[in-house]
Amino acid sequence: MSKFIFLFRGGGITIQPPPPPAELGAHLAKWTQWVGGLISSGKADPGPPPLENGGKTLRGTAKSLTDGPFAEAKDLVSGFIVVSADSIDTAVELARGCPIFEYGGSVEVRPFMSMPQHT
Amino acid sequence: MTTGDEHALAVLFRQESGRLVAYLTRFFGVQNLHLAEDVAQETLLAALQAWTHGLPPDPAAWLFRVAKNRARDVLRRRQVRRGNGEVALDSEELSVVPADRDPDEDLLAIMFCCCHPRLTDDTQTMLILRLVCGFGTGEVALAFFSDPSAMEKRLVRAKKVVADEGRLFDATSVAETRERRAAVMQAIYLMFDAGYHSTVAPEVVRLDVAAEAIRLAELLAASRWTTGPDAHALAALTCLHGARLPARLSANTLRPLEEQDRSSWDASLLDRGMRHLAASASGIELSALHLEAGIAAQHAVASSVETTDWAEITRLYDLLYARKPTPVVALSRAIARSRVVGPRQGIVEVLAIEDRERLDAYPFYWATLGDLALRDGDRLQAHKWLSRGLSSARTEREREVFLRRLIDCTGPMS
Repeated sequence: MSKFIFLFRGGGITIQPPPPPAELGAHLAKWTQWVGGLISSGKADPGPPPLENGGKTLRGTAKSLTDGPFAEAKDLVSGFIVVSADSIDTAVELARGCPIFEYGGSVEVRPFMSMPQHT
Repeated sequence: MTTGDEHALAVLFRQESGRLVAYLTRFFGVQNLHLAEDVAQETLLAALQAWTHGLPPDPAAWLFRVAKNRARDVLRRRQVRRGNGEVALDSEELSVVPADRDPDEDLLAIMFCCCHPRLTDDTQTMLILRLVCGFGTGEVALAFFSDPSAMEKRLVRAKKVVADEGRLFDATSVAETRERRAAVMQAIYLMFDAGYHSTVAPEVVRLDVAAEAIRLAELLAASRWTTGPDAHALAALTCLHGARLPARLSANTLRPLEEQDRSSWDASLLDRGMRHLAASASGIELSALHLEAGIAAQHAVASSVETTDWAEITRLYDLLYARKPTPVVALSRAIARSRVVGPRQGIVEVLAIEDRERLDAYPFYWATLGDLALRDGDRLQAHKWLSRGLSSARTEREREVFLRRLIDCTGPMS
């Protein structure tokens, strides 16, 4: 089994104008069902909580500090989960079930590097 | 943490949206309504992001806390001005605003604001759906068979009227609420009607609109500032009819009373309806609402169309028509009377309705005539009337109703 991170970008929280409440609620239900299913089947790590939208960004040699992620809405990292799968293909199949695509978001599937163990 | 099904969460978000807007409007002042709406929306978006792993134990409390913090941030960033130029509240005062105030009172306050005398009845209802019930503009447009961009303009204008009023209605004052009680009840009545009778709105929107009207009617009847026999009559009317709505909409087509599965009527709503009806009888007044609730109760207690007390229903319609002499009431009365005097006489009475031409564009009118002719065994005449109805149908759903009936005109007589 290998570990992968799913990086969510854009999606429901970033589109303008925001969808009406009922649509957001129904969309959230799909998220809870998808993430909940991955966690209960042991495929996703239940540990890390969701991300806040705000934050700070340090940039450049001057380490200039700015408020917020300052990404284009579609590029904003809106969340992540860590998933176990036997291959990247399996991981991609799991990512296909993500509700983020309803609002044009993206999921970046990245394998964690497997480090050689020193003995 | 729990997950939720789509409809339950859709309803939760809608209702909490209304509560948040109502609460935030008290923070920012009614003239900053747009700000209250923005912060409510941001709060729901924060929940969408935070709840992907599951819902918190008390979602409403979570939303309320986040909304309050965001409201504080907004006030820190800029001084929100009330209509008279003074700063609304600083964050010190904000923490004193009683957080545990009954959210229902906030809902009532904004509902009364929506019923501004400068707005038409329909617009008041639409605005309540938008602000108090958290419906999106597109959903309100669907419920009223209107174009979404026209609805958007209409709602923006209506919100401006409410904001320009400059002060929030005090729903905890009998003197204040008295002025607008009738308008508020009319708006809830229209809302229920849009849910119950509309054949143009999609089923799920209709059920939700009707459910919201029931919730608001019961809210009005429960608050000691707004309750009264007429509020209970309205609650009874919406509960008793609402109990039958899912059965009426079953199998994706409008089911006439004869074909409804009475065992699928909502027992809890029937029970609440009957209790409201009993409470409505405490005054001396016999309003149109009382009569309509009484008619709904007659249907609700009957075990079948055959055992329904049509003579009593006819009597109630006679009284109702005396107070509300509209062609639609006359049509309903004629339908009830046809159960007493027979379909042929029923047709005569329908055709004798005063201002009958106003019903020409009303598909239900042609459906009624067609049904009466079918019951009378006159298929040729039924076919004519139902064909006329088919041509006035506005949606696929309505066309289906007529097509189904037209098949009855050609099939073997049952």
